[in-house]
Amino acid sequence: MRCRLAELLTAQDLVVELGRDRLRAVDGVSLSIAAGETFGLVGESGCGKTTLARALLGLQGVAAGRITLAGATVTATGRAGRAAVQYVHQDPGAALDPWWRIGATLAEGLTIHGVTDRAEQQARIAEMLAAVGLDPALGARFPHELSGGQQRRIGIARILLLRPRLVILDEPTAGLDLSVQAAVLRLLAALRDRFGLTYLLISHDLGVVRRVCDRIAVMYLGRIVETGAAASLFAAPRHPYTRALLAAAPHLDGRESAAPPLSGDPPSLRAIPGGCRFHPRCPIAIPVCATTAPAVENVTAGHQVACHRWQEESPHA
Amino acid sequence: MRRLLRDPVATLGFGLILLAVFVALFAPWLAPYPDDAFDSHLLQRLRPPSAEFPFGTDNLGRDILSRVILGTRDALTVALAVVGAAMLIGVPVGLVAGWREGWLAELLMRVTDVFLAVPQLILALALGQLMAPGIGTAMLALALTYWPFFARTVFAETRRLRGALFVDALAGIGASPARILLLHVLPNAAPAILVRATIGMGFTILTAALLGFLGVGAAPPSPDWGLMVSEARQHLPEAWWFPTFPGLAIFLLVLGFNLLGDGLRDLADPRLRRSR
Repeated sequence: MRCRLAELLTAQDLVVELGRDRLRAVDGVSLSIAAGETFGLVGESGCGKTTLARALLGLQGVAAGRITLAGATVTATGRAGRAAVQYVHQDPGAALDPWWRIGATLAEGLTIHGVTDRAEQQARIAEMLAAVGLDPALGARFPHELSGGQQRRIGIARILLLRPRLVILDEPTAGLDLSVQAAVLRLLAALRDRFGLTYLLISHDLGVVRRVCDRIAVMYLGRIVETGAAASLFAAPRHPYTRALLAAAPHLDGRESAAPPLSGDPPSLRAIPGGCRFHPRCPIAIPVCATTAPAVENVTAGHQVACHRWQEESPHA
Repeated sequence: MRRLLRDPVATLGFGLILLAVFVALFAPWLAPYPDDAFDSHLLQRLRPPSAEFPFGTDNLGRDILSRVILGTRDALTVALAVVGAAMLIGVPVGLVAGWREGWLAELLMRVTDVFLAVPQLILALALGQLMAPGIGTAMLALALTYWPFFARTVFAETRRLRGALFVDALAGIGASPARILLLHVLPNAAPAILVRATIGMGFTILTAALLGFLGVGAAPPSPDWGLMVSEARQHLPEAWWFPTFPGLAIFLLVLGFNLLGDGLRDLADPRLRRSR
């Protein structure tokens, strides 16, 4: 873990309700991301990762809670806040307008954010394309003429042109083959150092998270169940859900995991279990889990867990 | 464009339209008797086709070939004006209703449905009674009944595109709704609008001719195709050439627009576009 720097983005007791049914996709999430770190957010599909990201981005209204950016409270639609926090889509090809040339798409972001001088736009675009390892001549192409890796680099370049401070990466390596994955991750690390970025990386690929993240939050059904430095969380997971996730990840050395695998699917947001949300699937649930939601407790200074039994169960059982 | 020409049927349609546009532009020079739009020569009425009058003459002795040629311009002008006016109303309605959610979208689409439910001919006849029957009234009626088709098309496209990832990405980098709608949604919806407009041109020509036939469209002595067919009724079956050639002109031009519209629809299908 890096030394703790100033907090860049924090969320306190964030609640996001979706649709007319007011489903609580995010229910009381608090997290804080330090400047310069790579913060991983993991969890199964549908646990609210993307909704949380959209809320942090200001694209999704917040029902309750507070988001601060560099100490200042962010309103949902403040433009300045928007430029500082940017989002790289999971499918970068589909995130580009198919009718617009790459160069025009890149220039558009600059136009929106007040850089309207053609020459300056072109200079910044050429510089950014070089920074993400692409030929500036690619600007004349259409999105469908690019490869998956190139589209991903364009997606990143488009965001970085706006000079954000926090970049939310949604599954940055999904759908790429391993060699391209590695190249994209190296590029992300290089860009972070070069532009002084902070990353919030959303993924369910624990291998990727383990390789690049400094700290990790594990999300289950709209709540964060465990937060900690990557090293300590992977070495000694405290929450049974984290342990199950780690166990479910394939090990290259073929060793069997100690924790039992997860059974069943996560419950629907329409029928959230009472008490601890994980108790119906939890291998170590006790009666109190079904009635009382566990409080967030400190394991160590930087490691929090929300489980009634974190002290009893040894992680290496 | 090149891909369009690879489709022989669409190319035929495109050729027919080009021919019609050419004829419309140069009608006064192409028509053998350009004055026959209005002049009558009662001594040579209802002559069968001959070298002198290739399409024969009508009940007032006017050269039918000349009148068919002179009628092209009106037919195209009416179609363009009606489709243009229908787009001016329908496209913004569809964009706004497709983008917004809630009462405004509901209101716009329900109004659209009401207009969609009004039968074109009845509205045209009613307007003709209220106002002076004439080509202007017919165009107004056609535009008032055709815009809902554009509204629905654009509405569906906007709804589809609103959920597209690139629109979400644009919102993410701070693009305003106006920018997204006008610069991104509209161009992406353009193929569907173009297809609708092309088919609408054919439809409008046909309906305008029908209104002319019923007497609420163009007024005599304008060289209107529908009106010519209507005037010919009393001289059937002896003067077969009288309704045949204007009818053929209507048929070919409508066919041209429909064939081109179908070809454009195939081109606009993104699945086909990708694979080529």
